[in-house]
Amino acid sequence: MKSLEKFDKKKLKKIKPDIIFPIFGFFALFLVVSFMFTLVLDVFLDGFEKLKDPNFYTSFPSRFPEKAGILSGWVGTLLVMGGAIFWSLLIGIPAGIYLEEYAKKRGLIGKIENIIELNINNLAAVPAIIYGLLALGIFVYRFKLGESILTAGLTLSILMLPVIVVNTREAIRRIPRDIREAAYAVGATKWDTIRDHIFPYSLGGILTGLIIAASRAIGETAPLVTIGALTFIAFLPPNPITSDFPYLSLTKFWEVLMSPFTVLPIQIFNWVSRPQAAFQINAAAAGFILLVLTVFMNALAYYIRQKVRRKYIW
Amino acid sequence: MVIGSVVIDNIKNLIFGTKEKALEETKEANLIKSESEIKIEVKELNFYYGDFKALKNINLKVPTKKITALIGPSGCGKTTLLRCFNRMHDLYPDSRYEGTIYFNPYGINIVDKNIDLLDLRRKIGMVFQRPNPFPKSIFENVAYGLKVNGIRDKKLIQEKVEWALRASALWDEVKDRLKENAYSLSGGQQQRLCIARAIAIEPDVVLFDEPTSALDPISTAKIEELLIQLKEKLTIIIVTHNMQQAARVSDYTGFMYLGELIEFDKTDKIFTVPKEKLTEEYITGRFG
Amino acid sequence: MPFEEKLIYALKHPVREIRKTAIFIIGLKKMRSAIKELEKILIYEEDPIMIIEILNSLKNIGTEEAMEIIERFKFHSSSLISSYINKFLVHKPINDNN
Repeated sequence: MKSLEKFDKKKLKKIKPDIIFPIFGFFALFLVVSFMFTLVLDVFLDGFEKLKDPNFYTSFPSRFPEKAGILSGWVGTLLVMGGAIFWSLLIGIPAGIYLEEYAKKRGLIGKIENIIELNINNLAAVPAIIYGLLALGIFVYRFKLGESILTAGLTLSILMLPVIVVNTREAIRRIPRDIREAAYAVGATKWDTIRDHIFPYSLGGILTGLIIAASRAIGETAPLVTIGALTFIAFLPPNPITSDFPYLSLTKFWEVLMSPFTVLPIQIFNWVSRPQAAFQINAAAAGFILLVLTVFMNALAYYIRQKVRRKYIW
Repeated sequence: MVIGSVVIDNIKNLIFGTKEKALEETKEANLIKSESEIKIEVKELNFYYGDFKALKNINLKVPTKKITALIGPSGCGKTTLLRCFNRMHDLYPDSRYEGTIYFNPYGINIVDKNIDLLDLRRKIGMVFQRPNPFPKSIFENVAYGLKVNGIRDKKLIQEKVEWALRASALWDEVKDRLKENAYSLSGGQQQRLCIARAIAIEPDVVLFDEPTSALDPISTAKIEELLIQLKEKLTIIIVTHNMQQAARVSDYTGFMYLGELIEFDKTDKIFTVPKEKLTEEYITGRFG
Repeated sequence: MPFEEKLIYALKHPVREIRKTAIFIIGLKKMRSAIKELEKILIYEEDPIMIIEILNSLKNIGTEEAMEIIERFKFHSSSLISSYINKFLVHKPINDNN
């Protein structure tokens, strides 16, 4: 019966990690969740006083903490994100479609395409401040776009691009081969196929990628500080919408694009660095708003993904 | 000018003799007549995936308005051959054709590099192994081929869609739900929708790549019935792994093995008195 | 080995589809030599689709011997089979003896 004992011991040894790992894993998970929970709760409780005050959302920053609000912050964030989303979609979707549908992977052009492909994956890992420096050199100094909303949008769009390209490609790759073949089989051109099938069927995946990229970019501070975001702005860009046709004043729209800006994370940073305790409350409140925005965007991404999954069951 | 040309013709006739010319003309007519019964003629076709020779010296005549079946064990190249007819291989890199596939009456070589692929695919449609409707409405699915081929007239599109759905025995089942997503249909209905999509642009030939392999027996029977109806209007080439299906629906059958066309004959001959030993062995399940 | 013999061997093939095809071709070829073999299969075969396939082939062969076997299945417990047979037993095919 010696051999049996040996066998049992061996078996025991094997069982141990089976118990230890789940316990460790559970605590790891618990740690993550409790960090997250404490953070949200702490910020909410600290900023509660300001969050319930409607003036907080409609006031400009001020030297007096009780008067200070986040108006220029959230307007700036919305405008910058709008620009970033616009540019990153304009460039990211065609780039992704090209790599997936047109890239040859052969010959000299194929080699260049391969290098680009590899680098797109690397780009996602480049620290954000490097992008800030790049934008400072290109958009601010070279193209003289100034320390403006346009520059900020372009900068964040560079940050978002790799994620959008990768997500576009993945969404396209999920479309089964026989769907495209069906289109070609009735005499569709490549462009017909992309316009009528590849693009619409991958749109859900593309949008999911976009929102994930945007929810990351919305909290970015470093690249915007680099290109010269202001920390104190007591005015809004002009309203480009007019009451009569064509309802949009192009000159004013240009002014909006060229106006200086601040964004929520910079506002938070500014408040946190002040000595007065009252500003800490403001910072917590603004931080909570930023958190809510991020959670909302992630929820939207999840919703779109679920909806698309139900629509296209390959 | 006209009189002049007539005079020249007369002089020519005097020199070369009219009788011979007439004879030549009738010969030509005979040739055309026999050619008109052949829709596709494959001559010494080789096909390569990279370095791999997938089809070896295929010679085959596909008769007009008949069902031609291709059978053989999996990996024998029957689907590869089928996909040569509408140049589906061109969608992927590293494919290479050698030889000729004549397409009558257009007098073109299908595997010629310079032919218009869109035009070819308009004339040679395809139905795939797995029902693959677009995730769009039933109507849009059938109308898609018409739209990409430049038909904009809404009334005409409507008519053609209805015709195609009737021809594919689906109209009665879907006429009240044309706006619904094609994915709401059953598998068999989806496959018939794919047939409707293929025939809506009125091709000369429709290629079927194991169209019933993903379907239940009842849907399969419906599609087989449909194939027999469709051959009044079209030439059909069908790849199938089900020998009984080939025997039931096809007029001609080709047996392929390891990239070669081993035997091609009328279907009843292939199954009852095969000439080749390999065909016998395949039919009786001695390999594959 | 002649084709006919291979077909009879194929009746015992492990793959159902091959067996079914062999039965079908035996019918197409009107192979009288296979009647005995088909009769043997009918003793143990339980799959109604296969039974119908065999009866169909027997009908195609059409000899008296074959028709006799079909008659036995007239009152088969499977309604699928009995109703199928009754469909073509109403108008018995004329035995043209080739």
